[in-house]
Amino acid sequence: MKIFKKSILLILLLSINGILLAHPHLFAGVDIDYDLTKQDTLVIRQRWMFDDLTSMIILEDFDSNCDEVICPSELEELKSCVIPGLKEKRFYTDLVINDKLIIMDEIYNFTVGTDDIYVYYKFDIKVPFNFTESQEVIKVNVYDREFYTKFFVNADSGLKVIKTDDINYSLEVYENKEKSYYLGQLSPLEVKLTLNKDN
Amino acid sequence: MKRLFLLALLFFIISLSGQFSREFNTRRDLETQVGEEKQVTQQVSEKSFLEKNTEQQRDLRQNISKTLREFKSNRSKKVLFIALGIAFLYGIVHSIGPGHGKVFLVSQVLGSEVKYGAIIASSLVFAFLHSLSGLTLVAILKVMSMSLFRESAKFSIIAQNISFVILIGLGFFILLKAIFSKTEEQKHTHQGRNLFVTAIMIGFVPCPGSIIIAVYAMKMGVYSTGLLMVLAMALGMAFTLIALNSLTLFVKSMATLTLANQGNIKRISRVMTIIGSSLLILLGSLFLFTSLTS
Repeated sequence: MKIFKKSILLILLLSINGILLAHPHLFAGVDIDYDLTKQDTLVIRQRWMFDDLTSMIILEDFDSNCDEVICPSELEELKSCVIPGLKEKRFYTDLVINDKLIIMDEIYNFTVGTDDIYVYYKFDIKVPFNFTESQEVIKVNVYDREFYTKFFVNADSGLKVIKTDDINYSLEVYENKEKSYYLGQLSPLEVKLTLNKDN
Repeated sequence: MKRLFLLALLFFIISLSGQFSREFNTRRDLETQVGEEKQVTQQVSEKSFLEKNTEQQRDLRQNISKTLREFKSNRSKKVLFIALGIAFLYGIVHSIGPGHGKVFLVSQVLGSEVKYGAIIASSLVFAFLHSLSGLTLVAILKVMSMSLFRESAKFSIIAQNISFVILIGLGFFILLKAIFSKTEEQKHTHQGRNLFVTAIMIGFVPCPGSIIIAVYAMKMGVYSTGLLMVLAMALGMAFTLIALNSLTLFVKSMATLTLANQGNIKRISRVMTIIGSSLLILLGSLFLFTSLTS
Protein backbone atom coordinates (compact mmCIF):
# COMPACT_ATOMS: atom_id res chain seq x y z
CA MET A 1 0.00 0.00 0.00
CA LYS A 2 2.94 2.32 0.74
CA ILE A 3 4.29 1.77 -2.76
CA PHE A 4 0.84 2.47 -4.15
CA LYS A 5 0.56 5.78 -2.28
CA LYS A 6 4.10 6.78 -3.22
CA SER A 7 3.37 6.00 -6.86
CA ILE A 8 0.27 8.21 -6.89
CA LEU A 9 2.22 11.01 -5.23
CA LEU A 10 5.01 10.66 -7.76
CA ILE A 11 2.66 10.71 -10.75
CA LEU A 12 0.92 13.80 -9.38
CA LEU A 13 4.16 15.61 -8.66
CA LEU A 14 5.80 14.80 -11.97
CA SER A 15 2.78 15.67 -14.06
CA ILE A 16 1.72 18.71 -12.08
CA ASN A 17 5.20 20.10 -12.74
CA GLY A 18 3.97 21.01 -16.17
CA ILE A 19 1.30 23.37 -14.97
CA LEU A 20 3.27 26.55 -15.37
CA LEU A 21 4.62 25.52 -18.73
CA ALA A 22 8.12 26.64 -18.19
CA HIS A 23 11.35 25.20 -17.09
CA PRO A 24 14.75 26.78 -17.02
CA HIS A 25 16.38 27.07 -20.39
CA LEU A 26 18.80 29.79 -19.48
CA PHE A 27 21.17 29.57 -16.54
CA ALA A 28 23.07 32.47 -15.06
CA GLY A 29 25.44 32.87 -12.15
CA VAL A 30 24.95 36.18 -10.33
CA ASP A 31 27.62 38.33 -8.68
CA ILE A 32 26.53 41.38 -6.69
CA ASP A 33 28.68 44.32 -5.63
CA TYR A 34 27.35 46.94 -3.22
CA ASP A 35 29.05 50.27 -3.68
CA LEU A 36 28.57 52.51 -0.65
CA THR A 37 31.18 55.10 -1.56
CA LYS A 38 28.97 57.30 -3.74
CA GLN A 39 27.42 60.38 -2.19
CA ASP A 40 23.71 59.87 -1.36
CA THR A 41 23.48 56.91 -3.69
CA LEU A 42 23.67 53.18 -3.25
CA VAL A 43 24.96 51.41 -6.34
CA ILE A 44 24.18 47.74 -6.68
CA ARG A 45 26.26 46.31 -9.48
CA GLN A 46 25.18 42.98 -10.90
CA ARG A 47 26.96 40.61 -13.21
CA TRP A 48 25.02 37.77 -14.78
CA MET A 49 27.32 35.17 -16.24
CA PHE A 50 25.41 32.85 -18.59
CA ASP A 51 26.20 29.20 -19.09
CA ASP A 52 28.09 28.23 -22.23
CA LEU A 53 25.08 27.07 -24.26
CA THR A 54 23.15 30.28 -23.55
CA SER A 55 26.30 32.31 -24.22
CA MET A 56 26.65 30.68 -27.61
CA ILE A 57 23.05 31.52 -28.52
CA ILE A 58 23.54 35.16 -27.50
CA LEU A 59 26.66 35.35 -29.67
CA GLU A 60 24.87 33.57 -32.53
CA ASP A 61 22.17 36.24 -32.49
CA PHE A 62 24.12 39.41 -31.81
CA ASP A 63 27.75 38.84 -32.75
CA SER A 64 27.17 39.73 -36.40
CA ASN A 65 30.89 39.92 -37.33
CA CYS A 66 31.55 36.56 -35.59
CA ASP A 67 34.58 37.74 -33.62
CA GLU A 68 33.22 36.19 -30.38
CA VAL A 69 32.97 39.67 -28.84
CA ILE A 70 30.02 42.05 -28.62
CA CYS A 71 31.34 45.29 -30.15
CA PRO A 72 29.68 48.71 -29.51
CA SER A 73 27.34 48.56 -32.51
CA GLU A 74 26.30 45.00 -31.64
CA LEU A 75 25.82 46.10 -28.03
CA GLU A 76 23.36 48.78 -29.12
CA GLU A 77 21.27 46.21 -30.97
CA LEU A 78 21.40 43.83 -28.03
CA LYS A 79 20.41 46.60 -25.63
CA SER A 80 17.43 47.59 -27.72
CA CYS A 81 16.33 43.97 -27.76
CA VAL A 82 17.08 42.94 -24.20
CA ILE A 83 16.51 45.96 -21.96
CA PRO A 84 12.75 46.41 -22.59
CA GLY A 85 12.23 42.77 -21.58
CA LEU A 86 14.38 43.18 -18.49
CA LYS A 87 12.51 46.33 -17.56
CA GLU A 88 9.20 44.53 -17.91
CA LYS A 89 10.49 41.89 -15.49
CA ARG A 90 11.88 44.57 -13.14
CA PHE A 91 15.38 43.33 -13.90
CA TYR A 92 14.52 40.10 -12.09
CA THR A 93 15.56 41.89 -8.92
CA ASP A 94 13.65 42.55 -5.72
CA LEU A 95 15.28 45.27 -3.67
CA VAL A 96 14.10 46.04 -0.15
CA ILE A 97 15.74 48.72 1.99
CA ASN A 98 14.68 48.85 5.63
CA ASP A 99 11.57 46.81 4.82
CA LYS A 100 10.56 49.16 2.00
CA LEU A 101 10.30 47.72 -1.50
CA ILE A 102 12.19 49.86 -4.00
CA ILE A 103 10.73 50.00 -7.50
CA MET A 104 13.44 50.31 -10.13
CA ASP A 105 12.66 51.82 -13.49
CA GLU A 106 16.10 52.06 -14.97
CA ILE A 107 19.46 50.39 -14.96
CA TYR A 108 22.75 52.10 -15.74
CA ASN A 109 26.04 51.24 -17.46
CA PHE A 110 24.64 48.13 -19.11
CA THR A 111 27.43 46.27 -20.85
CA VAL A 112 27.88 42.84 -22.33
CA GLY A 113 31.22 41.11 -22.26
CA THR A 114 32.80 37.73 -22.70
CA ASP A 115 34.97 35.85 -20.25
CA ASP A 116 36.53 32.84 -21.97
CA ILE A 117 33.48 31.20 -23.63
CA TYR A 118 30.93 32.80 -21.32
CA VAL A 119 28.86 35.88 -22.04
CA TYR A 120 27.90 38.18 -19.21
CA TYR A 121 25.61 41.15 -18.70
CA LYS A 122 26.75 43.81 -16.27
CA PHE A 123 24.70 46.74 -15.03
CA ASP A 124 24.19 49.11 -12.12
CA ILE A 125 21.10 49.79 -10.09
CA LYS A 126 21.18 53.19 -8.44
CA VAL A 127 19.05 54.06 -5.46
CA PRO A 128 18.99 57.31 -3.42
CA PHE A 129 20.51 56.36 -0.09
CA ASN A 130 21.38 58.31 3.02
CA PHE A 131 22.97 56.46 5.87
CA THR A 132 21.04 58.25 8.61
CA GLU A 133 19.85 55.40 10.78
CA SER A 134 22.19 53.58 13.14
CA GLN A 135 21.52 50.45 11.13
CA GLU A 136 20.45 49.93 7.53
CA VAL A 137 19.25 46.64 6.11
CA ILE A 138 19.34 46.00 2.36
CA LYS A 139 17.83 42.83 0.96
CA VAL A 140 18.31 41.70 -2.64
CA ASN A 141 16.71 38.74 -4.42
CA VAL A 142 17.54 37.91 -8.03
CA TYR A 143 15.14 35.37 -9.51
CA ASP A 144 12.79 34.69 -12.40
CA ARG A 145 9.32 33.95 -11.09
CA GLU A 146 8.38 32.32 -14.42
CA PHE A 147 11.39 30.05 -14.10
CA TYR A 148 12.48 30.48 -17.69
CA THR A 149 15.88 31.57 -16.41
CA LYS A 150 17.46 30.08 -13.33
CA PHE A 151 19.72 32.50 -11.48
CA PHE A 152 22.33 31.11 -9.12
CA VAL A 153 23.64 33.70 -6.68
CA ASN A 154 27.36 33.07 -6.18
CA ALA A 155 27.23 33.31 -2.41
CA ASP A 156 30.73 31.92 -1.93
CA SER A 157 32.73 34.41 -3.93
CA GLY A 158 30.36 36.66 -5.83
CA LEU A 159 29.36 39.15 -3.14
CA LYS A 160 31.40 42.27 -2.50
CA VAL A 161 30.89 45.41 -0.44
CA ILE A 162 32.80 48.54 -1.39
CA LYS A 163 32.63 50.95 1.52
CA THR A 164 34.25 53.67 3.54
CA ASP A 165 36.22 52.88 6.70
CA ASP A 166 33.52 54.00 9.12
CA ILE A 167 31.02 51.37 7.96
CA ASN A 168 30.83 47.86 9.35
CA TYR A 169 28.71 45.25 7.66
CA SER A 170 27.51 41.71 7.75
CA LEU A 171 26.18 39.66 4.85
CA GLU A 172 23.71 36.83 5.18
CA VAL A 173 22.57 34.56 2.37
CA TYR A 174 19.54 32.36 2.88
CA GLU A 175 16.47 31.07 1.11
CA ASN A 176 13.49 33.36 1.46
CA LYS A 177 10.57 30.98 1.79
CA GLU A 178 8.11 33.87 1.84
CA LYS A 179 8.93 34.48 -1.81
CA SER A 180 8.46 30.88 -2.86
CA TYR A 181 7.37 30.49 -6.44
CA TYR A 182 6.56 27.79 -8.96
CA LEU A 183 3.97 26.08 -6.77
CA GLY A 184 6.16 26.67 -3.75
CA GLN A 185 8.86 24.38 -5.09
CA LEU A 186 11.51 27.08 -5.38
CA SER A 187 12.64 29.90 -3.15
CA PRO A 188 15.06 32.63 -4.15
CA LEU A 189 18.33 33.13 -2.32
CA GLU A 190 18.11 36.40 -0.45
CA VAL A 191 21.22 38.43 0.20
CA LYS A 192 20.83 40.54 3.33
CA LEU A 193 23.36 43.30 3.93
CA THR A 194 23.27 44.88 7.36
CA LEU A 195 25.23 48.10 7.74
CA ASN A 196 26.37 49.78 10.95
CA LYS A 197 28.17 53.06 11.17
CA ASP A 198 30.94 53.82 13.68
CA ASN A 199 30.13 56.80 15.87
CA MET B 1 8.30 -11.09 -17.22
CA LYS B 2 5.81 -8.26 -17.48
CA ARG B 3 5.57 -8.11 -13.68
CA LEU B 4 9.35 -8.06 -13.40
CA PHE B 5 9.54 -5.18 -15.87
CA LEU B 6 6.89 -3.24 -13.96
CA LEU B 7 8.61 -3.85 -10.65
CA ALA B 8 11.94 -2.66 -12.06
CA LEU B 9 10.23 0.40 -13.48
CA LEU B 10 8.49 1.11 -10.20
CA PHE B 11 11.74 0.73 -8.28
CA PHE B 12 13.50 3.15 -10.63
CA ILE B 13 10.80 5.78 -10.34
CA ILE B 14 10.33 5.42 -6.61
CA SER B 15 14.06 5.78 -6.11
CA LEU B 16 13.69 9.17 -7.81
CA SER B 17 10.84 10.09 -5.51
CA GLY B 18 13.22 10.25 -2.56
CA GLN B 19 14.35 13.51 -4.03
CA PHE B 20 10.93 15.00 -3.48
CA SER B 21 11.24 15.16 0.26
CA ARG B 22 11.93 18.62 1.43
CA GLU B 23 12.78 19.35 5.00
CA PHE B 24 11.85 22.94 5.45
CA ASN B 25 13.32 23.20 8.90
CA THR B 26 16.67 21.61 8.25
CA ARG B 27 19.25 24.30 7.89
CA ARG B 28 22.97 23.98 7.70
CA ASP B 29 25.62 26.62 7.74
CA LEU B 30 27.80 26.20 4.71
CA GLU B 31 30.22 28.94 5.39
CA THR B 32 30.88 31.44 8.07
CA GLN B 33 33.58 34.04 7.76
CA VAL B 34 34.09 36.47 10.55
CA GLY B 35 36.53 39.30 10.10
CA GLU B 36 37.11 42.54 11.89
CA GLU B 37 34.34 44.29 10.17
CA LYS B 38 32.51 41.76 8.09
CA GLN B 39 30.66 38.58 8.53
CA VAL B 40 29.33 36.44 5.71
CA THR B 41 26.91 33.71 6.61
CA GLN B 42 25.26 31.39 4.18
CA GLN B 43 22.34 29.29 5.25
CA VAL B 44 20.84 26.89 2.77
CA SER B 45 17.90 24.62 3.45
CA GLU B 46 17.65 21.09 2.12
CA LYS B 47 17.17 21.46 -1.62
CA SER B 48 13.83 20.64 -3.19
CA PHE B 49 13.46 18.12 -5.99
CA LEU B 50 13.09 20.89 -8.55
CA GLU B 51 16.19 22.69 -7.31
CA LYS B 52 18.20 19.48 -7.54
CA ASN B 53 16.75 18.78 -10.98
CA THR B 54 17.68 22.29 -12.14
CA GLU B 55 21.25 21.92 -10.92
CA GLN B 56 21.53 18.52 -12.61
CA GLN B 57 20.29 20.07 -15.86
CA ARG B 58 22.85 22.85 -15.60
CA ASP B 59 25.68 20.38 -14.92
CA LEU B 60 24.66 18.11 -17.79
CA ARG B 61 24.48 21.08 -20.16
CA GLN B 62 27.98 22.06 -19.17
CA ASN B 63 29.13 18.52 -19.89
CA ILE B 64 27.35 18.55 -23.26
CA SER B 65 29.16 21.69 -24.38
CA LYS B 66 32.47 20.42 -22.98
CA THR B 67 32.26 17.08 -24.80
CA LEU B 68 31.12 18.77 -28.03
CA ARG B 69 34.15 21.06 -27.90
CA GLU B 70 36.36 18.04 -27.20
CA PHE B 71 34.80 16.12 -30.08
CA LYS B 72 35.36 19.05 -32.40
CA SER B 73 39.06 19.03 -31.62
CA ASN B 74 39.82 15.29 -31.73
CA ARG B 75 36.85 13.60 -33.50
CA SER B 76 37.22 10.60 -31.21
CA LYS B 77 34.51 7.92 -31.25
CA LYS B 78 34.87 7.51 -27.50
CA VAL B 79 34.08 11.19 -26.95
CA LEU B 80 31.13 10.89 -29.32
CA PHE B 81 29.66 8.01 -27.31
CA ILE B 82 30.19 9.92 -24.07
CA ALA B 83 28.46 12.95 -25.61
CA LEU B 84 25.51 10.82 -26.71
CA GLY B 85 25.30 9.24 -23.26
CA ILE B 86 25.23 12.68 -21.64
CA ALA B 87 22.58 13.88 -24.11
CA PHE B 88 20.47 10.81 -23.25
CA LEU B 89 20.80 11.55 -19.53
CA TYR B 90 20.01 15.20 -20.17
CA GLY B 91 16.83 14.10 -21.96
CA ILE B 92 15.79 12.10 -18.90
CA VAL B 93 16.57 14.85 -16.39
CA HIS B 94 15.18 17.62 -18.62
CA SER B 95 11.84 15.87 -19.07
CA ILE B 96 11.54 15.02 -15.37
CA GLY B 97 11.53 18.78 -14.84
CA PRO B 98 8.59 21.05 -15.61
CA GLY B 99 6.83 21.22 -18.96
CA HIS B 100 6.77 18.77 -21.88
CA GLY B 101 3.03 18.21 -21.59
CA LYS B 102 3.41 15.23 -19.28
CA VAL B 103 0.16 16.07 -17.58
CA PHE B 104 -1.78 15.75 -20.86
CA LEU B 105 -0.39 12.30 -21.58
CA VAL B 106 -1.03 11.20 -18.00
CA SER B 107 -4.63 12.41 -18.20
CA GLN B 108 -5.10 10.39 -21.39
CA VAL B 109 -3.56 7.24 -19.90
CA LEU B 110 -5.83 7.74 -16.92
CA GLY B 111 -8.94 8.28 -18.99
CA SER B 112 -8.44 5.87 -21.87
CA GLU B 113 -8.21 2.14 -22.22
CA VAL B 114 -4.65 1.96 -23.45
CA LYS B 115 -2.03 -0.75 -23.39
CA TYR B 116 1.68 -0.60 -22.58
CA GLY B 117 2.52 -0.87 -26.27
CA ALA B 118 0.51 2.27 -27.04
CA ILE B 119 2.25 4.08 -24.18
CA ILE B 120 5.71 3.19 -25.48
CA ALA B 121 4.84 4.13 -29.06
CA SER B 122 3.09 7.42 -28.18
CA SER B 123 5.92 8.45 -25.81
CA LEU B 124 8.46 7.83 -28.58
CA VAL B 125 6.31 9.73 -31.09
CA PHE B 126 5.99 12.65 -28.70
CA ALA B 127 9.69 12.79 -27.73
CA PHE B 128 11.00 12.63 -31.30
CA LEU B 129 8.43 15.12 -32.60
CA HIS B 130 9.16 17.48 -29.70
CA SER B 131 12.88 17.39 -30.47
CA LEU B 132 12.67 17.34 -34.25
CA SER B 133 10.21 20.25 -34.34
CA GLY B 134 12.88 22.19 -32.43
CA LEU B 135 15.48 21.23 -35.05
CA THR B 136 13.13 22.16 -37.89
CA LEU B 137 12.49 25.54 -36.27
CA VAL B 138 16.23 26.20 -35.97
CA ALA B 139 16.70 25.28 -39.64
CA ILE B 140 13.83 27.54 -40.77
CA LEU B 141 15.02 30.50 -38.68
CA LYS B 142 18.57 30.02 -39.89
CA VAL B 143 17.52 29.89 -43.57
CA MET B 144 15.40 33.01 -43.07
CA SER B 145 18.26 34.71 -41.15
CA MET B 146 16.00 35.39 -38.20
CA SER B 147 17.01 35.71 -34.56
CA LEU B 148 17.10 32.30 -32.87
CA PHE B 149 16.98 33.83 -29.41
CA ARG B 150 13.83 35.86 -29.95
CA GLU B 151 11.94 34.16 -32.76
CA SER B 152 12.16 30.60 -31.43
CA ALA B 153 10.48 31.69 -28.20
CA LYS B 154 7.74 33.51 -30.14
CA PHE B 155 7.12 30.55 -32.42
CA SER B 156 7.05 28.13 -29.48
CA ILE B 157 4.35 30.19 -27.77
CA ILE B 158 2.21 30.25 -30.94
CA ALA B 159 2.66 26.49 -31.45
CA GLN B 160 1.85 25.89 -27.81
CA ASN B 161 -1.38 27.89 -27.98
CA ILE B 162 -2.50 26.06 -31.13
CA SER B 163 -1.82 22.77 -29.33
CA PHE B 164 -3.91 23.81 -26.36
CA VAL B 165 -6.87 24.70 -28.56
CA ILE B 166 -6.69 21.34 -30.34
CA LEU B 167 -6.32 19.49 -27.02
CA ILE B 168 -9.37 21.26 -25.61
CA GLY B 169 -11.27 20.22 -28.75
CA LEU B 170 -10.06 16.65 -28.35
CA GLY B 171 -11.16 16.70 -24.70
CA PHE B 172 -14.68 17.79 -25.69
CA PHE B 173 -14.80 15.15 -28.42
CA ILE B 174 -13.85 12.33 -26.02
CA LEU B 175 -16.17 13.64 -23.30
CA LEU B 176 -19.20 13.93 -25.57
CA LYS B 177 -18.50 10.51 -27.03
CA ALA B 178 -18.28 8.97 -23.55
CA ILE B 179 -21.57 10.57 -22.52
CA PHE B 180 -23.67 10.10 -25.64
CA SER B 181 -22.41 6.87 -27.26
CA LYS B 182 -25.00 4.17 -27.03
CA THR B 183 -22.84 1.05 -27.09
CA GLU B 184 -19.77 0.22 -25.01
CA GLU B 185 -17.86 -0.53 -28.23
CA GLN B 186 -18.50 2.99 -29.50
CA LYS B 187 -17.34 4.47 -26.19
CA HIS B 188 -14.04 2.66 -26.17
CA THR B 189 -13.06 2.61 -29.84
CA HIS B 190 -10.04 4.69 -30.86
CA GLN B 191 -9.01 5.37 -27.25
CA GLY B 192 -5.41 4.43 -28.10
CA ARG B 193 -5.66 6.82 -31.03
CA ASN B 194 -6.62 9.66 -28.67
CA LEU B 195 -3.36 9.12 -26.81
CA PHE B 196 -1.47 9.37 -30.10
CA VAL B 197 -3.31 12.55 -31.12
CA THR B 198 -2.44 14.06 -27.74
CA ALA B 199 1.21 13.01 -28.14
CA ILE B 200 1.38 14.55 -31.61
CA MET B 201 -0.29 17.78 -30.49
CA ILE B 202 2.06 18.36 -27.57
CA GLY B 203 5.05 17.08 -29.54
CA PHE B 204 4.36 19.76 -32.12
CA VAL B 205 5.61 22.38 -29.61
CA PRO B 206 9.38 22.69 -30.14
CA CYS B 207 11.62 21.73 -27.25
CA PRO B 208 13.87 24.67 -26.25
CA GLY B 209 16.39 22.21 -24.78
CA SER B 210 16.98 20.57 -28.16
CA ILE B 211 16.96 23.96 -29.89
CA ILE B 212 19.85 25.04 -27.67
CA ILE B 213 21.85 21.87 -28.32
CA ALA B 214 21.21 22.11 -32.06
CA VAL B 215 22.36 25.75 -32.18
CA TYR B 216 25.45 24.95 -30.14
CA ALA B 217 26.42 22.03 -32.39
CA MET B 218 25.75 24.18 -35.46
CA LYS B 219 27.95 26.94 -34.10
CA MET B 220 30.71 24.39 -33.43
CA GLY B 221 30.36 23.07 -36.99
CA VAL B 222 29.50 19.51 -35.89
CA TYR B 223 26.09 19.24 -37.55
CA SER B 224 25.63 15.47 -37.68
CA THR B 225 26.84 15.08 -34.09
CA GLY B 226 24.34 17.75 -33.05
CA LEU B 227 21.56 15.82 -34.79
CA LEU B 228 22.62 12.58 -33.07
CA MET B 229 22.70 14.34 -29.72
CA VAL B 230 19.20 15.73 -30.21
CA LEU B 231 18.00 12.21 -31.06
CA ALA B 232 19.75 10.79 -27.98
CA MET B 233 18.08 13.49 -25.93
CA ALA B 234 14.71 12.57 -27.44
CA LEU B 235 15.31 8.95 -26.45
CA GLY B 236 16.01 10.09 -22.88
CA MET B 237 12.77 12.09 -22.83
CA ALA B 238 10.85 9.09 -24.17
CA PHE B 239 12.36 6.96 -21.41
CA THR B 240 10.97 9.28 -18.70
CA LEU B 241 7.56 9.48 -20.35
CA ILE B 242 7.32 5.71 -20.80
CA ALA B 243 8.23 5.25 -17.14
CA LEU B 244 5.74 7.85 -15.91
CA ASN B 245 2.86 6.73 -18.14
CA SER B 246 3.48 3.03 -17.46
CA LEU B 247 3.40 3.76 -13.76
CA THR B 248 0.14 5.66 -14.23
CA LEU B 249 -1.38 2.73 -16.11
CA PHE B 250 -0.10 0.27 -13.52
CA VAL B 251 -1.56 2.30 -10.63
CA LYS B 252 -4.82 2.74 -12.53
CA SER B 253 -5.08 -0.99 -13.12
CA MET B 254 -4.36 -1.72 -9.47
CA ALA B 255 -6.95 0.82 -8.34
CA THR B 256 -9.55 -0.49 -10.77
CA LEU B 257 -9.01 -4.07 -9.63
CA THR B 258 -9.15 -3.08 -5.97
CA LEU B 259 -12.26 -0.95 -6.26
CA ALA B 260 -14.28 -2.86 -8.76
CA ASN B 261 -15.85 -6.21 -9.14
CA GLN B 262 -16.58 -7.57 -12.58
CA GLY B 263 -19.99 -5.91 -12.69
CA ASN B 264 -18.96 -2.30 -12.34
CA ILE B 265 -15.60 -2.31 -14.15
CA LYS B 266 -17.34 -0.84 -17.21
CA ARG B 267 -18.90 1.93 -15.13
CA ILE B 268 -15.53 2.78 -13.55
CA SER B 269 -13.92 2.79 -16.98
CA ARG B 270 -16.56 5.24 -18.20
CA VAL B 271 -16.02 7.51 -15.19
CA MET B 272 -12.26 7.39 -15.83
CA THR B 273 -12.83 8.43 -19.47
CA ILE B 274 -14.97 11.36 -18.33
CA ILE B 275 -12.34 12.39 -15.75
CA GLY B 276 -9.51 12.07 -18.30
CA SER B 277 -11.27 14.13 -20.97
CA SER B 278 -12.40 16.73 -18.42
CA LEU B 279 -8.79 17.05 -17.28
CA LEU B 280 -7.76 17.60 -20.89
CA ILE B 281 -10.34 20.40 -21.26
CA LEU B 282 -9.56 22.00 -17.89
CA LEU B 283 -5.80 21.85 -18.18
CA GLY B 284 -5.84 22.93 -21.82
CA SER B 285 -8.03 25.93 -20.90
CA LEU B 286 -5.88 26.77 -17.87
CA PHE B 287 -2.65 26.60 -19.87
CA LEU B 288 -4.13 28.58 -22.74
CA PHE B 289 -5.40 31.25 -20.37
CA THR B 290 -2.02 31.44 -18.59
CA SER B 291 -0.19 31.66 -21.88
CA LEU B 292 -2.47 34.36 -23.32
CA THR B 293 -2.45 36.51 -20.20
CA SER B 294 1.25 36.26 -19.30
